[in-house]
Amino acid sequence: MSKQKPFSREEMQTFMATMAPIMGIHIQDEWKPVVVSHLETAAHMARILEKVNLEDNPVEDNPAEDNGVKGK
Amino acid sequence: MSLSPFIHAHDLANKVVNQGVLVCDVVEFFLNRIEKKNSSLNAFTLVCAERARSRAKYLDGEIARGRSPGPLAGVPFAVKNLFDIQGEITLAGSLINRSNQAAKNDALLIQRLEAAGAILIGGLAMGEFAYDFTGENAHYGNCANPWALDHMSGGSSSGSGSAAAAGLVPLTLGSDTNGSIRVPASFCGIFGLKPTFGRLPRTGTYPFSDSLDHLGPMAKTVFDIALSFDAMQGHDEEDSACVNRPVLKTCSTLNGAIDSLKISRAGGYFSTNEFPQATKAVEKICRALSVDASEDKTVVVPGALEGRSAAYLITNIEGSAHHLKHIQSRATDFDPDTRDRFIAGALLPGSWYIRAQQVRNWYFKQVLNMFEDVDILIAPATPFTAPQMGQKYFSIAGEKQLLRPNLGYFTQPISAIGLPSIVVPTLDDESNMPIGVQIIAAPWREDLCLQVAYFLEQNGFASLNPNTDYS
Repeated sequence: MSKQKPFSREEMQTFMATMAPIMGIHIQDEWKPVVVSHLETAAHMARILEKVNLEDNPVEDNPAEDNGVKGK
Repeated sequence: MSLSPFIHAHDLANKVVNQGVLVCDVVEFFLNRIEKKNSSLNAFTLVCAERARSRAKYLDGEIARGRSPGPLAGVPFAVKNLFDIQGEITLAGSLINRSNQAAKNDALLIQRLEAAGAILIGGLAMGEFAYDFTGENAHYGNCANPWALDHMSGGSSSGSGSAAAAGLVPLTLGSDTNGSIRVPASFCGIFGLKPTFGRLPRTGTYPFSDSLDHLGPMAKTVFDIALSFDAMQGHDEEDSACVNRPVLKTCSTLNGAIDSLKISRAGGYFSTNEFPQATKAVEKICRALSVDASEDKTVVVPGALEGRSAAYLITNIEGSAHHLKHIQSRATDFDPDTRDRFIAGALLPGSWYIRAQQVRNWYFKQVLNMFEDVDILIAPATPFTAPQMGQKYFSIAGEKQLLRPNLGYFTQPISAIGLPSIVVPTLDDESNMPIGVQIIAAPWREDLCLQVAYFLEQNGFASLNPNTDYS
């Protein structure tokens, strides 16, 4: 299970406060703590992905037709 | 006419075709059952009584004329309410969709099941917009677990799990983006198949995350899963993700010998050290298959953590993009539990999304290599049996974790790359509640998943019937 929080809560609050108006989203005050928690989890996931060395494992832009996965 | 509500779909079809049981009587039996039990379970959100009666009358006429309606003759089924039903609004568990127009056609999989003789009898509860593993819904009420009404049914195909387990209908359809067929199958004690990504067309269903959405059947026997799976296959150009492959007939191969299969317990990420109920369930299945379950004999799924992380972000960002207009204009009309996640997803950078898709492809290649040495993986479906409704957190190694996103901890890395997986039910002896185990194969090998599940079913891992003596 995910345990680490790679960004501070304050950083994620700032991120939310910056991005929400740009995206046209109004976040009521009582929703904010939970939204920040979800942002923290997402940031944690993004950090996990950053650590993957794709250079040694080149990725095709267009996944094979018949491999069970289609990227967007 | 004497029927058990827990009758299997193929037995029911046999009674209809060979023993003179009238489809009209079957439909009335299940309509009556739904009438009696649904107030406790809240599994059905729509009952298409007149449609089902009309269809039953037609099928009885066909049978009287000596025509066979198909392998699912007279079998009532119901669908998660994100499947289009002609003339009905496709709610997808939401309040927002109530202002949409009614569907003009049935979803393609409904059409295919009816072409095989089955009868649509209703729509089923689900978590809002499928962003859920619990079965809770702020708009339409929680869907109860038939094994214990104050426990979660699992989600987001909550009604599909609850209704099939409680004998309200022998066959249901669900959708699975990150575990939404497999989690309720585990909690409700039934079989649930998530086929390979791209196998079954999603035409006529409400999307959640286009890169990850799958559809599949849920039922009380492996044979019923195979029967319906075979009937639903076939390419459809309307779904760009659907791959044009020959139909894989699985019913006829269920009895295939599994001795030659290389079966291993999944290790590493899938370790169950923190989850004693999942540990016991997996060990039981391993014993039945003569698989060495010890830690040093497990197969590590390479990149599972990264794959799960990729799926998490892809789902969050795609789902939020789909709902952005309503997040901006009708945020208070969302279920609070999904609203906050959609808002977060709408704020995330595009570079994270691209990275997630790249890592997903990388992970897929690692796993394909792994399948050169193994045919079947055994992994938990859920960390534990169904929690009590309303529970928001759980503890792992003394640390508090959100429950809702983590119920899919073991299912999400599998659907992330579209692997076929069937959940086999087991019973946790201490709690007397079901908990499922995933049987996972390489892409397009649903036949192997089903063969192993069938073997297990024949050796004691059958779906058990809960006591449904409530009103």
